[in-house]
Amino acid sequence: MSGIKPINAKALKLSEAVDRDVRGYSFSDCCSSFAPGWEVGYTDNPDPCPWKHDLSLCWVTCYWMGQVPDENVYPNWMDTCGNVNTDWRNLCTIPDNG
Amino acid sequence: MRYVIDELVRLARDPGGLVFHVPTSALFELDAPTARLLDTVEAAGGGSQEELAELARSQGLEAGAARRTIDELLKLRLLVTAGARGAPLHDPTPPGEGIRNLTLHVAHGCNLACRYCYADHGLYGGAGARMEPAEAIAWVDWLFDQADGDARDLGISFFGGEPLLAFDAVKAAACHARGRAERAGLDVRFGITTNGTLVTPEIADFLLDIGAVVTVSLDAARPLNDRLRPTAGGLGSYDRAIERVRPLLAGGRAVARATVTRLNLDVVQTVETLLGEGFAEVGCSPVDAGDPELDLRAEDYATLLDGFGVLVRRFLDRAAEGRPYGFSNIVSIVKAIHAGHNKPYPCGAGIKMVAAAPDGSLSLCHRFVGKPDFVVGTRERGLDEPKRSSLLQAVSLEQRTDCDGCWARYICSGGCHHVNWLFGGDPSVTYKTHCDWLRAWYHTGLEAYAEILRTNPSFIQRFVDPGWVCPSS
Repeated sequence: MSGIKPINAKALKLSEAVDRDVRGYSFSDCCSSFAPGWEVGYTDNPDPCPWKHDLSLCWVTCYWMGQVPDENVYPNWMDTCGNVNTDWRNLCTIPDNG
Repeated sequence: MRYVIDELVRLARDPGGLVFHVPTSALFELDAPTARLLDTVEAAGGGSQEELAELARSQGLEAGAARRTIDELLKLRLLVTAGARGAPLHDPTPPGEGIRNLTLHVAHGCNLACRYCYADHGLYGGAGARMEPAEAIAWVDWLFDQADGDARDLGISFFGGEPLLAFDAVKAAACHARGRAERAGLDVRFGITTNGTLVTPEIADFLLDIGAVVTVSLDAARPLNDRLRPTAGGLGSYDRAIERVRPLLAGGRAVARATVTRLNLDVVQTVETLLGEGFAEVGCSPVDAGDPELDLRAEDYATLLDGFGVLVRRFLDRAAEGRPYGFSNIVSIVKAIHAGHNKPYPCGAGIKMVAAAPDGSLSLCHRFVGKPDFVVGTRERGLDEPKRSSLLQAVSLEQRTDCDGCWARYICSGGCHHVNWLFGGDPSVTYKTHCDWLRAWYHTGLEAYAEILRTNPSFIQRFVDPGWVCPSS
């Protein structure tokens, strides 16, 4: 049983959003999960951009390096995602054969 | 990566207390182990995820529970990385750019001569003026024509001066708005702020018919009210106002607004007197007159808070029994806390609301009418978008630093633009004389909310409906 109970409407909204959040990949401390709110718009705020677009930009332009795996260790991490717009769900895990 | 406790306001309460998360305005209840864990993490100045889990275990949580608790605190942003501390999550603004609420200044001029009037006895620095019915109708058309497709309801507030000096304009505008709303499938809401002394049976019937919320300005029981709110001829106005608004009181549509000055600081007597007259709600606002004889000093704010405390106690005692008590100030703050309001702007001025003056200009809000720097358009040309957005950008809390570190900043949002301008010459510079009082008041609101949760949680639901006005008690 959780030791934190949401009380007001905003807290309920945040708690519910956490439960249905999209999980990004995560390993060790150098790749964060996707920051809640920015990608999934869980408080009904308009999304600044779809998270997959964000990821693509991060990877291609190295704007936010922590968002993508270290390609020296995981050179094939993008292999299961030929097209980020359609295959983005395949990005949820780091390939075992990295 | 090091995690720290985000900005929180803690409220003691068994078993573990409540936490108000400042950046989101979310309110959580903690069990005792989680509350102790937050204390421990705070004392340690934060830590890595492993260190936090160790701290959790030191508080008696077994390993799995410790990990889950830390994980949940992180997900709910009660624990954040140092760089993310205080990152706000504001309420979404309604979609679209259009104005939804128009304050229509149908008359510049007033039959009373209140000592503190910010509007120069209703004249707003100009000569007296009143809108012709055709002008008022043209403003209604402006409101409906510019409303964007997302708008489902629009609001019109009749204001002045004393708006009932131009009742023909009020009537014409309201009838026209109802017709347009019906044809467009929209709802339209009406409000009017009046001194009450010019209400006739015909006017009362009309206001009840259109469902207007009628705000009557009255400041205290008779002797003090008459000193602060004399007629232009120097006579008292209390008896006349009360006598005239009786049909509205009977209809349950009248609320009272008291302006609190150094001369009428006994808000308990004021609120009790006006509730006793039959007003559905009574709200109190400190005066902003720029007059040292009337403006509250620091010690007066303490007196005001004491009075509010007495009224809050009455509100809470009634709430425990499931009965309302119409002290608007606490009703508003409990509503805001329940919803978790979190805004970069203190009000809708210039965002979804503007004020229309008899000279054809649009101002940021009713208080700025007559101030050329805050004119954001005209009826002829519409909104001056560059000026409107430049003014809004300047006052946005995200562009200001003077509220940094204040836990109430996303509830208060930097305070009334007009008050800031009046005292500091700039709407984007927070008038700090109010700050301690406001923080104390918001804290009282949090405590009140927590008490209702304990004594009668279902009572809170009364506040969910934004149009709810408590019935006469």
